[in-house]
Amino acid sequence: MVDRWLRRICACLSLLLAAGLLAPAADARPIDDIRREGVLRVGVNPNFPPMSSYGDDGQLRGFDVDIARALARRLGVRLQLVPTEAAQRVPFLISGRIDLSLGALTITPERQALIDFTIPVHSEAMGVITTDRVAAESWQDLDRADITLVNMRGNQSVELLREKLPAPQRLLVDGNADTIRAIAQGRADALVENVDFFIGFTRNYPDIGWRVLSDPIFSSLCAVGVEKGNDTLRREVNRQLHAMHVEGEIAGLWQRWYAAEMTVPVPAAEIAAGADGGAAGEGGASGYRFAFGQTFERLPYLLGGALVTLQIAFSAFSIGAVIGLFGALGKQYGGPALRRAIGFYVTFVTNTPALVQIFLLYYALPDMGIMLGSLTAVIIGLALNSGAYLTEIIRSGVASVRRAELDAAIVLGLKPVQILWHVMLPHIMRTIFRPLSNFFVWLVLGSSMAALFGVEELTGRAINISSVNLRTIETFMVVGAIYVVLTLVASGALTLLGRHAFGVGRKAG
Amino acid sequence: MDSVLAQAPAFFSAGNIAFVLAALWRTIAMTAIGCSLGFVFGLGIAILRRSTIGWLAPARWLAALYVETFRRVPFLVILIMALFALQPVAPQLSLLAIATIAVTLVATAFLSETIRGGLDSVPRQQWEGAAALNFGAWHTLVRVMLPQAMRVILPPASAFVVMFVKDTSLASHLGVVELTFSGKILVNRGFSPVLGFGVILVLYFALSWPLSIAAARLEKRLAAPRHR
Repeated sequence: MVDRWLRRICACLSLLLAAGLLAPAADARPIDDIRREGVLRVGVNPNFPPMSSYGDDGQLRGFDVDIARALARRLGVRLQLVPTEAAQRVPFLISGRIDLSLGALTITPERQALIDFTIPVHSEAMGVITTDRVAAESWQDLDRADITLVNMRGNQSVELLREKLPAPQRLLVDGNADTIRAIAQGRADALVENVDFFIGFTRNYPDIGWRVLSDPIFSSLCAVGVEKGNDTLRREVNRQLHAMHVEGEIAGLWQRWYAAEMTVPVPAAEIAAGADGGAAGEGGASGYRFAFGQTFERLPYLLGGALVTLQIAFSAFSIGAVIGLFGALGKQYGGPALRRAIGFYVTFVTNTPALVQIFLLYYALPDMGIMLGSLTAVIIGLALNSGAYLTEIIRSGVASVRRAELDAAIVLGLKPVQILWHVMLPHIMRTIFRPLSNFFVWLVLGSSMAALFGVEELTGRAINISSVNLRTIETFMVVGAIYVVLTLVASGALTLLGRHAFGVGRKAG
Repeated sequence: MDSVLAQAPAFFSAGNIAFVLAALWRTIAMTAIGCSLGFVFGLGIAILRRSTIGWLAPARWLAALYVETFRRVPFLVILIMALFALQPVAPQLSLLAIATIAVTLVATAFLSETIRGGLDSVPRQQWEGAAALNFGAWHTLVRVMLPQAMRVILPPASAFVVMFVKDTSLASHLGVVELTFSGKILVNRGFSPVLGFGVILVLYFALSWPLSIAAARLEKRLAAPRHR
């Protein structure tokens, strides 16, 4: 028995590894290919006003979009914009999905190991966006344990802030808009980031007393990302960016979208370096090589996430089981009004996605004055789902209890709770144990959606790690394997439990 | 509540309605194409796993492995892996195509189990009888096995599709502008989350409820003759 499970686990692991090793390396498109095909593919963030976002006409617009348009025009090719979330800027380049990556890509050594950069396009100066609820005059005042800083996964500032402001708690979210919403709803107190990029979202919440602490903590430069070793493209873009800087086109576009000058101007020496296209790169390193080292280093962190995953699944399952038990009893024995109410609950919940339900719990309830933390919102959402599905599952079990046995129990003078526990439950459990344990596995897998709300369970931790080490495939192969082990162990344990406690699988006797 | 009412006229503009309906269409396309392909591939895997030809043993082993693995990894993780594994191979693939491939991968694994159960439910005498009548493998499958197995396969298979319509909402994480992501974009544009996600929720319900009623009807109709 154990042997069979072990063999299955090993087999699944090897399949995951094999699937990954088959992935071939991508080819960079040199400038000649781009000219010949006549299309330049540029990655811009779809949710990052005023850099780039969808306008009312459903088209992307913003500073980055105009920069991309100018580059395509100057290169004499058509522009194809590729929506690229912050965490995908580098992976999309590596995979050759895009030729250039915009989206305020800060020049950093980690990124330089994987991609090449052009000369800087603009600077970013980190400041603080907060509200009048928070007593702080400078960024140093935020270094307190009662402060929660919100930040975006994949942003360079995440690691930097761990260094400069170690004391506050952190909330990691996925989008630019989510950071400001988190502060507006009181989930977080401040955002330490490039003020220019985020301040636009504060207009969505006019009732909040927004404040900007202006002293810059740190300033850095953002450039266009190019695939490693694609020197012909990088040097051509350098020449064009140099011209755009010198002709004042970049400053003009910044003024147009930000209605202000750059807080810190791009140094003249950096711009001058682009005049002749800039130095040739070390080249060579194009293509993708698998490296699991950085993922295995974080294995303890990932396993900790697996515990959170189980915690979410157990909590939602327990609450759901209670809801389901009463739901099933109500549906079987309750009056018409109760039956209809339960039917409505089950129909509604099982016909809408759990993800969108949790979106509502998490983002809409605060507008009505009910604030749920991300973990709480996810557990409540999944528990409501479990309750609905388990109502249906348990009802099939309740229906299997014969009327005659209930009558006998009543005649023997058992109290309702005793009837439920001693007479009904054994029957119910034996009928429904298999679907119940299947549902638990579904819940373990489903709890991964908690990652989209910043909960640091297994998938969330994988996203966190991969947005820093940029080893997404490796990280998720390891995480996939952990899920396989987790669910196999859960299935195995539940099968044993069912056999010993409820006699599932034995002949009824 | 006031803000919801105040925003409603701007929210239900022609542009937004077209935007959300296009996203709804992508949700439907992703599910329909992914699950149809999943059914075809799942049928292939189920037949492969039931075959007894000796030299196919490694393929049977791989198929069993595939099914076990893809039923035990969250759809979200498969989506992310599909994104990062497919991009180097085929950079021209749209995000929608990648998400559809991810749906296909998962649907194949789940539906192959459903189909295998259905084929197993056909009594042994049926295919022995077909062999005795000199039916070939193809005719045994198409004329004898599938017509009887479909009755057992279709109800759980349609329940799976109804379930999966909702799971495609996770594709919003890749940036596929399907129904959920369209709601997110509208909310990020400043509309109230109650309005944005509420409308999306209602649309999912409008899509899923008729499907689940149809699935329940189908189950009743197909089950009926067995009790006669």
